[in-house]
Amino acid sequence: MDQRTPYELIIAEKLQNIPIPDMADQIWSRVKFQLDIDMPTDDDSDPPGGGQTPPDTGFYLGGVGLLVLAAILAVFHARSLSGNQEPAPAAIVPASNPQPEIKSGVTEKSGAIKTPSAPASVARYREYIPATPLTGDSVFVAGEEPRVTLLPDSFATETSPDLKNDLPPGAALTDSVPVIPGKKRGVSGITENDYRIVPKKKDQQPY
Amino acid sequence: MLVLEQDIDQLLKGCRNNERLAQEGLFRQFYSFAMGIAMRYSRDEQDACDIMSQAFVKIFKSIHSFDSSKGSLHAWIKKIVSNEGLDHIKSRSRFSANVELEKVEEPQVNNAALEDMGAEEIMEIVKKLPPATHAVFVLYAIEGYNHREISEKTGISEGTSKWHLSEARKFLQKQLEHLKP
Repeated sequence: MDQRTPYELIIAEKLQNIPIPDMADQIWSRVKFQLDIDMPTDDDSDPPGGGQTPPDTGFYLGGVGLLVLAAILAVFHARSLSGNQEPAPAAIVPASNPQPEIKSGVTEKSGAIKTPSAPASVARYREYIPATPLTGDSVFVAGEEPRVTLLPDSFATETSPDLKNDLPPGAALTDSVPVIPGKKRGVSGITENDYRIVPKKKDQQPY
Repeated sequence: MLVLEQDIDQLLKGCRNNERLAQEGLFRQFYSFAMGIAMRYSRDEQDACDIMSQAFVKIFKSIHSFDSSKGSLHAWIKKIVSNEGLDHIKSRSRFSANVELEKVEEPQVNNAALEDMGAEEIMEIVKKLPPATHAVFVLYAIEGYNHREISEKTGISEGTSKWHLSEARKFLQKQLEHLKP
């Protein structure tokens, strides 16, 4: 009863030699995907989905993290640069550089270096223009005695409003010292050497 | 042949250690063999892919239960793939349990015409069988199971298995009659 008929035997023999489609890669990828889920390997080097899957998620996360970090660093760098572009505070001459000693009431010139952005209300300090052309030796060097030359009226510059009001008419300010034309310069008995500005010592400075 | 057995032993050892390379090697080694079995139970190639992927996942999960002293690896893999193919058919249709047959009919079939037919052509005819009848016919005529064994595998009675086989033979007879010159 359970014997197979001749044609069934023929069918069985024929189906033993049926052509096999080439789908091994497709099937293996599915098997590997399922095995990675059900039986992950110890090193976990293979992500679920096999080699045909997109790159690792961790790779993407690492790249995103690096981009975020780079963006943060760029923001901080930009802020630091913008902070450096602010008007620099007035540079103060180091204490090792002695301040020049100004005699005869000449307003002592501070060592502050004014920037172009200095407020207009502050008196602008004149540049000292020596009578002789500037040479390397005539350039003021810390520790040396600077030579000061009073400038003529044509070099008068802006002054504070108060000082202007105090000047007699026609007077021109040079080094904030009023020079009244027609009047004899200086005091009798005082020579040019007396007008030499000697740098005060540190402990002798009023401030 | 000796070299092939040594390779299979190494592959089995690697599969037991859950090594992907060994698992892939074993899969490719038995791909043709297992695919031929899967195609008997499938309607098309995608069905066969489903059967194969599910079967090999089960093979690698239960590789530790294989005992070479109890049988060959071919027989073990064939059993798993056949069971998976059968489950695949069961998922598509219900096996009729209310039809019983005492004796299976044996209609006359033109064996000569059948001899001239190719494997693919015969496969196409078999695939036209209803799912349950298809399963019983494959188990009986191709796999060589008897009705008692078929009833145990499918959950149907021996009478129902015989009925399905009779239906399959009638269908094949009609189909092959159309091929007569």
